[in-house]
Amino acid sequence: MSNLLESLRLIRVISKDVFRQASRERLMYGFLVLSLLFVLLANVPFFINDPRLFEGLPAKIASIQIGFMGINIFLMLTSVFIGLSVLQDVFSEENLAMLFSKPVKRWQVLEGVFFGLFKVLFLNWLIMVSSLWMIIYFHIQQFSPDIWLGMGISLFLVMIYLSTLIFFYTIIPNAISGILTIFIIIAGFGVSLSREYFLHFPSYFFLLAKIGTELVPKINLLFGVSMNMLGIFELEINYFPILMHTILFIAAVHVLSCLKFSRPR
Amino acid sequence: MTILEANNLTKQFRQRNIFIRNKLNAVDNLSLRVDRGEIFAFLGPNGAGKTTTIKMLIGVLRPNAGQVKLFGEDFSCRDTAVKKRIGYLSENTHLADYYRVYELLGFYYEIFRIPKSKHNSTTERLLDEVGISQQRKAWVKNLSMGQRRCLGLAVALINEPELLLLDEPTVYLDPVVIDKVRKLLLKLKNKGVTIFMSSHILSEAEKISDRFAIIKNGRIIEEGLTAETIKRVSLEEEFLRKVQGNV
Repeated sequence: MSNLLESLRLIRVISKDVFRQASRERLMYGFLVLSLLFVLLANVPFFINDPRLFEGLPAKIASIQIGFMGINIFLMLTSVFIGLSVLQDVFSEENLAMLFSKPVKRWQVLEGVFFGLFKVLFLNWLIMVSSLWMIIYFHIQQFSPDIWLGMGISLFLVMIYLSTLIFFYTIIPNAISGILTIFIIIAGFGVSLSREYFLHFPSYFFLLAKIGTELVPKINLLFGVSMNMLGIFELEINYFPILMHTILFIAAVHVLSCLKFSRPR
Repeated sequence: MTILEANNLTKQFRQRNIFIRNKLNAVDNLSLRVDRGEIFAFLGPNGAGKTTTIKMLIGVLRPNAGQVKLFGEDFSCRDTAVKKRIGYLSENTHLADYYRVYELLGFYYEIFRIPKSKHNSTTERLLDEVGISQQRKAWVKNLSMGQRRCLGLAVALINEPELLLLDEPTVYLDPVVIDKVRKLLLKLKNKGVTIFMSSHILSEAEKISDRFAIIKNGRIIEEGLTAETIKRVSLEEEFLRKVQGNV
């Protein structure tokens, strides 16, 4: 128990350091400003009251839709690009030599990096969602807690992006890990469609391919959950297995990253 | 009592691209031992394997063969309890430049779990010992190379180590600071701290080391007592004779 507490303490110390390092990334502020400009567009449906626009959706839903898109796009960009930049600094040979000469285990460094980056992205998410919430509150004078709940799913997505990025970085410590992460995200979007496609071909190859799709994060379904909670769509989705799959995916990627990273060169 | 012992350490680096695949022996079957309270100078030309050896000794690199014993026990990179007793100064002094000097020390205090009540006094003592007490509130990025080196040394001393591994401790330093560092190392030695230092500055090694070893191409080619050697010939002459004559 004391070992676990000590590990958590060290992870917190390293995450604080990574948070500080990530906070000085100018690119992140650029993304944040752009995302806020995008979120500001959520005002438009309230000002243009024409049913031909926004497919006749109520102004609140159309507004949330615009904010949802902006927030998710910029969270993905920030996760991959800022994550990559911070990883390159933290995982530089000399920095690792300094850290590993201290009583810190390698997996603690890895988890510290994850939580440090997550903290930064959480703050970004908080600013973006607060802006969207304030815009909607300003127009309809309702507290709309569903916005916070629905957008909370985006934090799961951030965890997927960061975990995948760190995993790939432990294998290929350069910008290619960012590209691979984007591939995984794209693959995640296509999971449902691929599964349907593979089901049409009853051969072992396609059966294996179908099992393979089970391992990929179901990003589009997570978006579905988020949009349901936000009231954008009413999709027939069972939330529990999707959230469990996401949590298991993130946990598995963390374990694999720690195993890969735990052996010194 | 032997504090540091390396037995038959070997480290190979793979050099690999599309056309070439071969292995480079950075350290080859290296054995040495350092006793308590001793200053051991680890000398060698560029690329001899000094830094690689030190990185293996502190568990940053994994040897392909051989074994490291610290404080009489087998040491592995996962052994964090032993790392609490070690101080390390790296060759390039990678220090996070997004901190002020006292904040950077604070980060390492937290790693070593030094109580907050001791932070201020320890910071003052350490910065004074390495001669950069004026830079307490300076940003690390604004420090000169020499000042960074001194700060790196302060970081290495945070946990009051029993064993200090210093990779080129006096490089980038001016003569005044070198003198200060020399006195500090001798003070630590008198307190019973064991110091293992690699150096290019042979006159420095000559002044403070008890024993020395010369490494070339990953192998130790000479080992001896500094005091005895310099009765015959200076350490620099001995170094040049061994390194240039031993091909």
